Amino acid sequence: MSTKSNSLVLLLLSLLSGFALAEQNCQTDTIAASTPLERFKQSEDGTVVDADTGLMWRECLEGVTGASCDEGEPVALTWAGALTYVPTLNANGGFAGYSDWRLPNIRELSTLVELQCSNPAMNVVVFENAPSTHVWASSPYHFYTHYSWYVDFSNGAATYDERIVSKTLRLVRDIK
Amino acid sequence: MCVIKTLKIRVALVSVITCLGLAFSGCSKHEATVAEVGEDGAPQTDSTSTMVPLTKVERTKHSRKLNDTGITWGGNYPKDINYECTALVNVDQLPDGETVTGDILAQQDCANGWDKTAGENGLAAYLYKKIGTKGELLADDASSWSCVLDEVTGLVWEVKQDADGEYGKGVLNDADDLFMWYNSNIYNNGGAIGNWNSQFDQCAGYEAGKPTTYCNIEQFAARVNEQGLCGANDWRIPSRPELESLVNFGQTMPAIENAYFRDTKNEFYWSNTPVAGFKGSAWAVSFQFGFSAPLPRDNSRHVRLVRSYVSQ
Repeated sequence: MSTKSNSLVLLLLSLLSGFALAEQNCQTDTIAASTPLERFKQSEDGTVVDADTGLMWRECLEGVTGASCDEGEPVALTWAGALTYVPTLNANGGFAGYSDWRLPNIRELSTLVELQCSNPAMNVVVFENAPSTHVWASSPYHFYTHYSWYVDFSNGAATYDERIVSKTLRLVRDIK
Repeated sequence: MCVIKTLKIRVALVSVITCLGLAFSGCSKHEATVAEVGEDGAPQTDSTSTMVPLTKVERTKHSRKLNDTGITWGGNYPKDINYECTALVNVDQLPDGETVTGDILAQQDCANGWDKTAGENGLAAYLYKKIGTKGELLADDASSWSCVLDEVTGLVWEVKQDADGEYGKGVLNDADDLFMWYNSNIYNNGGAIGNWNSQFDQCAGYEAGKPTTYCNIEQFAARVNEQGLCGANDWRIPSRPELESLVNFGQTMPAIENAYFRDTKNEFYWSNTPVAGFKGSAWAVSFQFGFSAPLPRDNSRHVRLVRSYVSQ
């Protein structure tokens, strides 16, 4: 199939589904990498360790499974839904043998942004099939007090939105 | 390879937001008193030394390079924030059909991280040291300083002066000065050089027709390095992650520790990071509110220089 008809199909799909299926765009020669591969260590158990921050991440968004994070749909919850989801997960066996998962704060979540790429602004070798979603942080916003922080992984912006809006979740834990 | 342009155009909503000049807040701003760093990981500094000691921060067992957020208070649902690290669900205010069961506090920012014990002083999230004109370490209560060392990130930052609403006046580090985004480094300019801003007199030393005096970020860094600042000549424009490390998310207007970074404007500051897919834009951080946004490179914005502290 020609690339032209491929793009037409993708374009139609994105229009129909409303999801960003646009291909990732990376400027590897003209923008410095912010999340180089050597920072990360992937494990068979579905976790990724970032040597720079000392944080362990779940490779897939919540709701998504599979070795390449290509099975299932991401869970989307309000900010309160996100805050109560995580203790429930930890109480029910956790993930990969750990039951001390957290919702990342806005600074932690921002460390996953790959600034030389968009759609998504993530290193998709490390975080395979990462979609261009909005991901909640655990940080409430100070000025508009019905907002909390999230990262928009379509372009990597750290910004904020109303707490009643549903967004996806990516869990983190401290390495002891 | 075919690259499909995303259908959703990101618009910088920013100018609309920044027009809202009035501070309303359910949470009083923390008093910016300088606290002694707690006994766990107190930096060992020698105040008589002219060298800047970068002490290893051992807040956690691994070597941590991330600041905490500065958020020491909790958020209610669906709205309002608290003075303390507490959180309530206001059932009457929930959207139709939404129920919340369970604890909404344990996972919140204020309940985690090293700043959770900061109490009334958000400064416990940061390990800053004041630096003098020759690069010497100053006491925490020094009334005059030129740079700030962040002992967590290992970065040294330019401190601005004279926020009086007037450009320049001969002071290179004037807090009011504005610069366009310009970057001749082809490996990190996103494929376009930006705007060197030949015509606007917005910074110290501008002279029409003299490119080295133009008010763009690259020339500004060159001028500071020529003159020297805090004993160093390797100042540069921060990357977006470096610039964001200065944000105190626990406060707004400004969203930075004003006890150390005095004269910070409630405005955008440039990073040197291009925006992938948009050659005419670069990333900036709002120190009014703390968020990051792509801005057109021909915008005139502030900039704060950084250098990496090199261990002796």
